[in-house]
This record gives sequence, C-alpha cells and structure tokens, in this order.
Amino acid sequence: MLFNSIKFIVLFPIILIMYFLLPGKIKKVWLLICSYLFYALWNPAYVILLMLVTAVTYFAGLFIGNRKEESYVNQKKLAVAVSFVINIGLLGYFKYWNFLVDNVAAILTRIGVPFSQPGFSIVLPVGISFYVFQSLTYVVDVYRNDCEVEKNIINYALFVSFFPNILSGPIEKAKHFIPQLHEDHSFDYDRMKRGMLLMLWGYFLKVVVTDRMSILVDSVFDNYASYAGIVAIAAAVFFTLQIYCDFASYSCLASGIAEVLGFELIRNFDQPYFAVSVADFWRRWHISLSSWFKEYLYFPLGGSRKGKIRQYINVMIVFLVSGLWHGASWHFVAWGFLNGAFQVVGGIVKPFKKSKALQISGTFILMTIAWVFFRAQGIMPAVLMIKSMVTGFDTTALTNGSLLDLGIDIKDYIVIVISLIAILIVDIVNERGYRVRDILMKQKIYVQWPVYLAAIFIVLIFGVYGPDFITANFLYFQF
Amino acid sequence: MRKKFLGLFIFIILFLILLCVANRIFMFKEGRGVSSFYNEDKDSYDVILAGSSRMVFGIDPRILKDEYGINSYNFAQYGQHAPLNYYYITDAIKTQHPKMVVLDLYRLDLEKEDQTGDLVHMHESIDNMKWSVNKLKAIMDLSSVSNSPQYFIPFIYYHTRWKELNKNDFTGNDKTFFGYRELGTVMPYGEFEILDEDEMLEPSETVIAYLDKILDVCRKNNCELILINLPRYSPLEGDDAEENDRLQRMANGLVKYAEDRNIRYLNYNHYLEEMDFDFSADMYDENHSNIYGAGKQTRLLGDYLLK
Repeated sequence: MLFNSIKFIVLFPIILIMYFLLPGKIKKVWLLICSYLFYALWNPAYVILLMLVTAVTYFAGLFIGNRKEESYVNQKKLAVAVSFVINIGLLGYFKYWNFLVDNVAAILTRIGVPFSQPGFSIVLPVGISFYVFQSLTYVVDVYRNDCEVEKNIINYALFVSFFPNILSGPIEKAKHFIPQLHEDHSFDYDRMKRGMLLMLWGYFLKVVVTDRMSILVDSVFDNYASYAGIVAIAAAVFFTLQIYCDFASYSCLASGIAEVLGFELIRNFDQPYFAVSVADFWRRWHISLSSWFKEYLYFPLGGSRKGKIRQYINVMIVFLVSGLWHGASWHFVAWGFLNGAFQVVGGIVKPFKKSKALQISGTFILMTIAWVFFRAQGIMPAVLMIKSMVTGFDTTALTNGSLLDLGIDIKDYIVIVISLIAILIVDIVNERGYRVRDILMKQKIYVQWPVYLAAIFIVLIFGVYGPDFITANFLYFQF
Repeated sequence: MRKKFLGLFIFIILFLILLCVANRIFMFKEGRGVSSFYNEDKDSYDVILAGSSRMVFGIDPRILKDEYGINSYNFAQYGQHAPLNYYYITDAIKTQHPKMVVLDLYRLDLEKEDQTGDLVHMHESIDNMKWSVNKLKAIMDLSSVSNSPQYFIPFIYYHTRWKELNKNDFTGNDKTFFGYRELGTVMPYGEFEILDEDEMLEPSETVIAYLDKILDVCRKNNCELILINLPRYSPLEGDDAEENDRLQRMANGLVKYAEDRNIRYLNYNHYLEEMDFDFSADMYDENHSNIYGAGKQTRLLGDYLLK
C-alpha cells in the first residue's frame, strides 16, 4: 500500500481514529497490527522475514543487555557478530543472490566453464535494506550502552516494523526511537496539524512534481540511444531534481504520519542541493543512511583517525558499500565509486574557495553526473548518455520542439518550473533555520486557511494520479 | 480543544464545498441534459427516451410535443450500455411515472457479456445521476471496490482536465432541448444495404438480464417499454461493412426477445423508405443523425407511439 494510493488515504483516518480512541498500551498493539498488515499487503510471505529479523535482534539485545559486566565482553561481541551475520546474510541472500549468480555465470562463461543458472529467482522483499539496518542499530546501541535494552516485544517489534518508515526509511536509530515508545501518545491537535502539513508537502512533492518529471526522465533514460545533447542534459538535470523530490516526499510523508501519531523521525534531508561539496552533500542527503554508515561502518573502520590515506580508503569503502546497498547492480557500484572519488579528489585539491555559488553549482553538476549512473540501466548506457550530452550538443533542440516531445507539454513544464521555484523558496527558508510550517501556524486563521486550501487544491488539481495513471512507486522502494 | 475541533469541522465542510464546486467546473459538460432532468417538476413527462448518444442526437422532444402533443424528455447518455440504461430508467420512473419508456438499443452490444462500458462513458453516466440508493447500487454493480472511489469523488477522474478548461466549463450551460442535442453538420453517405431479418446475433445473458430488469421496473410502474433501433450508416465494403452487418444482426436479434415478452419493437432499418430517410443528407457521422435525420426519426416515433 503506497502512501499516495487512494487505499491509504481512505484507511489512514480510520487507523488514526482507532489509535487515539484506544488506551495507552493498546495503542502500540494497534500500531503493530497496522504495521504488519501494511507490510503484508506487499507480500504476506515476507512477514516471516520481518519477524525473523525482529526476533534475532530482539534476543541479541536481551542477551547483551543481561550481561553488563566487563567480563562478558567477548560474549556480547559474539552476539553482535551473530546478529550482523544473520541479518546481513538475509539481506545478502534476498538482495544479492541473483546478482552474485549472474556475475559468477558471466565469469565462468568467459573462461569457458559451463554453468547452468539455478531455476529460481528471488523477489526482493520491499524495505528489507531499511529494516535490517534499522534493527542492527539496536544491537549496536545496546552493546555500546547508548540505548536501554527493550524487554517489551511489542515495543521492539513496533520499532522494527513501524509502518511510516518501514519501506523507505528514514532509518531510525534505536537510541532515538525506542525511548519514544515509552512516552505518552495521547491526542495533540497542534502536533497532528503539523504532521498533516508535512504530509501535504510530501504529497505535493510526489504527485505534482516527481510523477510529472518522471514522465520526461523515463522517456529519455529508457531510450537513451535516441537522445543526445540538450535533451539528454535536461533528462539528467530533471532526474537529479526528481530523485530529491521523490525521496524527500517519502521522508516528509513518513515523518508527517509519524508526527501525527506522536513520534519524531530523524530528519532525512537538509537542503542537499545547497551543498558546497560532495562531502557536504552527503551530510545533507539521506542523512539517516549516511549517519548509519558513518556510525556503524566508517568509524569502526577507523574513520579519519588513521591518517589521510586510510581515511580516503575508508571513504571509498563506505561509498562502494553504499552503492551496493542502493541496488545489486554494477551501475550502483559505479555511482557509489563516483561519490567516493569526488570526495577523495575534493579532499586532495580542496574545494573552490572563490564563491559559494560556484561551489554549489559545481557540486550540483558532479551530483548530476553521478545520478546518471544511478538512473541508467547499466554503466555503458550511462557512459554513452554522458558522451552524447557533449557530442550531440546542439542548441536547436531548444527551438525545434524536441523538449516538448517527451511526454509532457508546455503546461506541464510551467507546473514543474513554478513548483521548483516553490521548493527552492522553502529550501531557502529551511536553510536559514526556519520552518515554513511553524511560520504558517503562527498566522491568523484568515491567512492559514486560504493557504491550506490552496495547497490541497494544487495537489488535487495538478497531481498526476487517478484512473488514467498507475499509482507511481517511490524510487527508493527498490532499495 | 473544543474550539479547535469546531474549527477543523468548519474547515472540512469548507473544503468539501470547494471540492463540489471544483468538481462541477471540471466535469464534462456534454451530459448536462441529464443533470437538468433532475430539476424538472415531478410527473411532467409521459414518455422517457433512453439509450446512448444515438438517442441524445436522434429524437427531439420538441417535435413530439409540438406535432404529437407528447411530453417527453430525452434522458439518454453518451455511450450508455444496458446496465446504466436500467439505472437511468429506474431514476426516471421514480420521479416522472411516465406512461412509456422508449429505449434505443445501439449500445447494448448484444453478444457481449461485459456491459460496463469505457471509463469516460461510465463517468458521464454515473456522475450526472443524482445521489440516491439507485446511484449507489449502480456504482456497486458496475465497479470494483478498488475502482469505486472515483465515482464517489469524481474529481479523482476529472482533475486532469485542468489543461483543457474553457469558458463553458465555468458557465456550464445546458445546451440541450429536453435532453436532445442538435447536430447541424451533414455527412453525405452512399447506399445502405439491409440484411435479411433472419440474420441475427444471440443476445448475451447480461443483456437479457438487464433488459428483463428494465421491463420489470417498467411493468411494476404501469409503464410500457418500447424498444427502437435508430438508423446507422456503414459502408458496404471494407472493415466497417462487417460492423454494419453486426449491428443489423444485433437489431434483428432482439425481435424474438420482444415477441416473447410482448414488447413493441420499432426497427428503423425497415422504415427507411417510409420516413424518407436519406443517408446522403440526414447523418452527422456514421452513428449519429443530424437535425434533419432526427426530425424524420422523431416523426416516425411520434406516429408509432400514437398507434
């Protein structure tokens, strides 16, 4: 069930009313039931996988939590290792088995060894990369004494399966989320309003902006050989903006829904395209994943404490793993490599110090190049597409109507441009430390209501939804 | 807190009102003759004309009233199939208690079991109906649970029209005359060949079931059901010739049905000479007659009804 589906929009108020009518402890049972049903609607069989991940990390947490004394350190380390092996093993099996088999087959075929591929293919359980990582934070946080052990299985299962963020994050950390499960979640009107405003912004980003831009992006990337020059550049820039709006929209919806229910999720984006370097970009983009890698991979590898060379190696390891985390395909690895390499080179030559605008523009261009590898269907298509941007550059594309032949017309472009200006303004406000929601909620009712109604109707009128369209998945669902 | 909830309640009401206004603006305006029907006084029409677009363009209630003294309303809707014919006739009988219902058969697609029709026409038919238990039954009958929200909130379907809105969408004038819509253009066609009456298509079970339901609701309300088949032109050669044959077979297929149930059936294909129908002057396109054709068709019906 997608947040942008009619089904969810009908069911959410029912979930909400029940949630606030039920007494304290039952609330969490209700949320757990809803979360499991939400997940089961994708693939009921994979609920068992979710239960297994929950059970492994729950018992690992109990095991570690019951052994406070220093003398148990080896046993605790073993528990952490076992839970990592099982969870990462499950992730590896479900996400990378097909990739591994394909590559082994390719290598063996190349050296002339006959190899018959197994006759089954594994369907990726939606959200597995997110909830496996999230549940592992608990084991590590308990091990590091950053988080109390959670003995209540309902609470813990809810932490792993919480429906707002199970499919695409933000990847919560146990030390941030589990304490919230012990707080009071009775109804708070203003909190609900704040959450719903964030959801409204999420819907705007998704159905008005992302789903409209994706029409052009898909047209070009899926037939990259037919396009070059300005059209290919436009598609690359559009994708750079689309993936931001798409993923930010999911995070807004997840955080907004959680806020309505009385929970605060980690802020996942911090105006990433205002970044002055690729390293800065990764402090602002998918923050919950970046900080996971930082805390649970980069630091354990030694971070920057073991000299520059080792630091650069660590950065490359983190981003190659991050590329692979995003998808079991070499073009994701290439995308991770580029992101790591940009940071290493940036660290060596030091970023431009001339002007901030130049730094922001430079970072945007580098990210656009990297995103081509992310979106393209392989490394070669990405290389060919970038090549065609240069070799096929021709300004006549601006006047001969090529840009209007990509599935969207001039009116759609107008909607996209106005929407992007609105997003830019909101990001500038956020960058200056304000929140548009807070500013709005302080206004008089005759200012608030027209703004809310206008926003709702902008989404309803200009949104790409309804029986003429297939409800579009969020891009990050595939990871 | 109570004040805040009151505010929320007012906000939701305001939103719903605006949604209704937006829906009215964004809806197709072609079907306004149907929604205007619901504003008519009760029991003011003796004859209800039902069917699809061929009826909308084919029978002019003004002629029936002026020349035959018959008060009628053209309560047909574009692309309407048998199930929606049934729900429309039910609605019409409920308020007008007519003496007769005249149903054109064209869109029945007799041999087909699936009688739901395409999305555009489903919306045109359902969204112009007044909210009632009958409309709810129509939605439940013709759409799945997952598809039904678009009929409860039709804006889900119509919002994509933002690119094509024009002045008429805001004024929303009903350009019909008692539901009849004039088509002035003449499309000259050539010869028309009538198939033998023995050549027929068997109606599907769905069609029979809905026709029986229509007959049942008519008889329960002391109303006579009359079936008609308005003229349609098809070339004698090429792919369309087959379609022409199919439609003629379909029209013939209803003869037995009508006889078995003692229903009057006026198949225009057999009266073309009598009414001086001229395919070179009376058609707007292959499926629809223009005002000249509609005049001839209406007069034949007027004579038939007074028999």
